[in-house]
Amino acid sequence: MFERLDPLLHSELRLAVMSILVDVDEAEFVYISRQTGATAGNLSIQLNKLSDAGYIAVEKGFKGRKPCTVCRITDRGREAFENYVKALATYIRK
Amino acid sequence: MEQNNSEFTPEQSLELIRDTLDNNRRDILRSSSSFLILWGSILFVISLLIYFLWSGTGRPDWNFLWFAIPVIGYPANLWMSRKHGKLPNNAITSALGQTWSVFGFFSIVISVLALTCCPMNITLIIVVLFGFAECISGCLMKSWVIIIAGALFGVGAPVLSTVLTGDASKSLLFTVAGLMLALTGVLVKYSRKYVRKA
Repeated sequence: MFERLDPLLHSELRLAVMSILVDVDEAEFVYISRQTGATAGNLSIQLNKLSDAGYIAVEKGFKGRKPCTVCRITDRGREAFENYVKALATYIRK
Repeated sequence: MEQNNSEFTPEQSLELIRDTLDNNRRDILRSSSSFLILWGSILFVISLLIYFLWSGTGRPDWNFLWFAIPVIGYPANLWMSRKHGKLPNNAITSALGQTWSVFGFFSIVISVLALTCCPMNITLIIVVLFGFAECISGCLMKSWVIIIAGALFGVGAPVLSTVLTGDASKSLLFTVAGLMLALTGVLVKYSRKYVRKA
């Protein structure tokens, strides 16, 4: 029996973002952008979707005079990511 | 990164998760290696300087130059952190940072105690601590080269410290330690094991 894949995580960029955040304390927007190769605009949209779902927390602030956005995964996001991987396993076992 | 979710299979999802995690860990570890090179280079230069000044003048006062290591190291560390931009911390880099911070703390406190109120063999204690910290770093980075180098140093340097004649020559043990630390950083930075997969 296949388990349903979370549509929010079943997207290349959002899944890459969650895979980065699941392994670190927190990461800056610039770092995530560099690691994923995503454009700033696209990444912002996807981060907002993850944030709206409560999967990540986004903190906007300043580093000196430059704006700085920091993202971290929430407990809910970690649980959703784990469930997503478990659901993926049901497809692979086939 | 494009999104073709309709063609995004479970196999591709798993591959993406694995590759992203692997590349992320490699990049964080490789970026952290610059700090190992920095501290190793400072230790190398200062210990060599102390050796030449001490053996040249015969004055042990030059030992106070050891305190130049944190005085130069911490501002340089801060400057490098700003230059590189804030790197995320994962479990491995946190454990590495904590290991070397604890080593630094013990080294400074023991040196101060030895120089002020409780005379003791500082060289012996610090080289053992260094070998221990190097070994732990190797275990964390899963590198047998670093584990063996740390173990050899941690066991060999205390033995050498009892064999070497002349106090000044003992500072050369720290020159080797500095070289080892810097080489650990170089190994991580350029080793294929830690280079990002395409």
